Amino acid sequence: MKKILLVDDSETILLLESKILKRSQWTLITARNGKEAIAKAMSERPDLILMDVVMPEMGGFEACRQLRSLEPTRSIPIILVTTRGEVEHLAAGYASGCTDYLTKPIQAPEVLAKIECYLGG
Amino acid sequence: MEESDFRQVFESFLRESEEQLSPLEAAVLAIDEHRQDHEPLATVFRLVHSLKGTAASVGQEHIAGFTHGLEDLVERLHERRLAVDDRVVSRLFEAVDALREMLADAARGLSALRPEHARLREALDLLVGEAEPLTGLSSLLMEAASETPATPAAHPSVQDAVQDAPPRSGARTLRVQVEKLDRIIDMMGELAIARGRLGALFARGPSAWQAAVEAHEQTERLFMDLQEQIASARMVPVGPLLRTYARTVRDTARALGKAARLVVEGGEVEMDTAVLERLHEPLTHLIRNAVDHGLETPEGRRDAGKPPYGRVLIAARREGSTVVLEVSDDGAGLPSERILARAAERGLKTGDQDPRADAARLIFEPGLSTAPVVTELSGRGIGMDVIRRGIEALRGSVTIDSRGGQGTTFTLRLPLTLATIEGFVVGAGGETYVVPLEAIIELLELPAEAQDRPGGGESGPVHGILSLRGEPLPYVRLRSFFGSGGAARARESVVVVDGGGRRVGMVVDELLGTQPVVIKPLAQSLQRWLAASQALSVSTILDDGRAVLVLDVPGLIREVLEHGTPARPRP
Repeated sequence: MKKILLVDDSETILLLESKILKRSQWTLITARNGKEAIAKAMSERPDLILMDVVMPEMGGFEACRQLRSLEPTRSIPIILVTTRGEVEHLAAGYASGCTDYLTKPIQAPEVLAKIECYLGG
Repeated sequence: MEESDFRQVFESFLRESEEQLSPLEAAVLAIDEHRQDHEPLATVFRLVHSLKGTAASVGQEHIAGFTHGLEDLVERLHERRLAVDDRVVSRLFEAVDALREMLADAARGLSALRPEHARLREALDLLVGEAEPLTGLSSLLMEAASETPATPAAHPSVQDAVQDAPPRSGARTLRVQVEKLDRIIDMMGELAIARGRLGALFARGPSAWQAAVEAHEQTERLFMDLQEQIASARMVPVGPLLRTYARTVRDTARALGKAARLVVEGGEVEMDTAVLERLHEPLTHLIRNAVDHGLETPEGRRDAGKPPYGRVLIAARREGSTVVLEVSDDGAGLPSERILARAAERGLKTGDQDPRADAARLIFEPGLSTAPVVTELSGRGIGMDVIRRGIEALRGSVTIDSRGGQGTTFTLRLPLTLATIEGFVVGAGGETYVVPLEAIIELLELPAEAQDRPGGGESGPVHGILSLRGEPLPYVRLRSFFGSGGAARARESVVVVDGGGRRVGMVVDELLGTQPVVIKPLAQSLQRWLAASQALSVSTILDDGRAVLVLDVPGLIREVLEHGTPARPRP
């Protein structure tokens, strides 16, 4: 079964994402900041990472950069979940190595379509 | 998404956002106090940005829009395009209050900005308009999206509040460290094993009784440990809540043209989250009173040779099973003469002892406000008597100490937890009562002169004065006080109790020893009946399974010393 790592400092967003993805065949794991995301990605080897941008401890851009520099996590697709006002900063996001992005408020069909596109259903 | 799923997400949003407000407020305070600093602005930005994202995700677009405006302002402050001045700080505080109201509205199903919130949004936009425009990428966002800022520990107050802000009253949730829960689960496991072993030993019959007794003792120890662990899970440090009063001090002082700051000492002291939540209101009033009635104006302070900034100190410390909170100000002290004059006008008993002590006692009388002008802030009809009742409802006490020209100190003594107390069991008139052990000073035999009249089977007087080592001690005969009747005893005992510095002897028939008791709220029907008496508070279940009442010592002392009327007879 494919595994998805959800990363956000808000438990509400994590809950929302898991509700959207609950009917899928994917296993869900979570992390609350960039540092925790890197640790989970190294130990759990998820097939895809859905990650917030602004978080305490370590933000999404930096986590992305570090995940790309580590051999075991180098090729995991990373979708950044951005908030209004962050779009101008997407270039910086892509520069950090993210694969794609979604904007809050996230919509279930869009989230599912994007994930399926990277995981192949 | 299904309706029930959405409901769950929405409730999570309300809970999480509400929890973010205390750290947000603490960070705005830090901005006010350290206007050149970078860190509190970054904290506000991150919290507001996060709130914006979650609000948008649950369809609260008006909150998302409002926070977007707030974020714009914070960004300009951070980039030094606009200076942090009094006007800006006031707007930031107003924004925190507005967010609190918006969340309350959202909880009630309202999802539009109130007119005053819309006006505040415009005011925020006007401030943004005054700032020089930003160029390029937002450095705050880039920083938040990247690594932690270089100076994370610059403001311990903000850091603490962010990490362990207790939920304010209303939000009945508590964050518990996973390690604590793990220990509780471990103990549950051990207890389950011990219980199984006990069952097996009983099944083996009389030959295994000795072993069963030992197994039972072991189970008992485990159970006590478990109880302690569960109680400790409810304990939270007092600092984060106490520090939120910096805002109360600041706002009250500003409204009165005074200058004041709050100092918190002993923030690491822990107490039961339930006690802490219910302290919020009495503490708010005490602190407002300290600023309003205690502190002088800056001119007044200068004339008195004091620094213009008044100081309100909340110091917490642990004394045995009690947490002591001292709320003190360095103001003018209680106006004893005015209080005594006012009390005389109202026909209240004024003693002939030290006028300062007299004034300190009288200030707790209902309706005795001596503020020369009733101010909008503390003159809201909340007297010291209401504060005292709030504290005593928590089985605590409050005393006051004041020195002319040097300030006033309110000392609050509160139990560590509301869940259990060490109780002393007494019998009177065929009824059993529990007295909180911490209120008991000493036990003695009732001197002969105060004994029931022998032979007649008639009870002695309800009240009286006996001599304790030459000092007069008012006493009350519980049997008659509660009207429970019963035959008079040949020998009676006196339990000397202390509440708020005043002592009374309770005459009882039997002393039945100590035991830990678990406090239970009274049934509603009982509550109504007991509303007439201040002397009984809650109930408990004794070792033998009987439900009994717990005496409220300060309430009892008040009834005896001030009103002298016995409680209603039992129905």
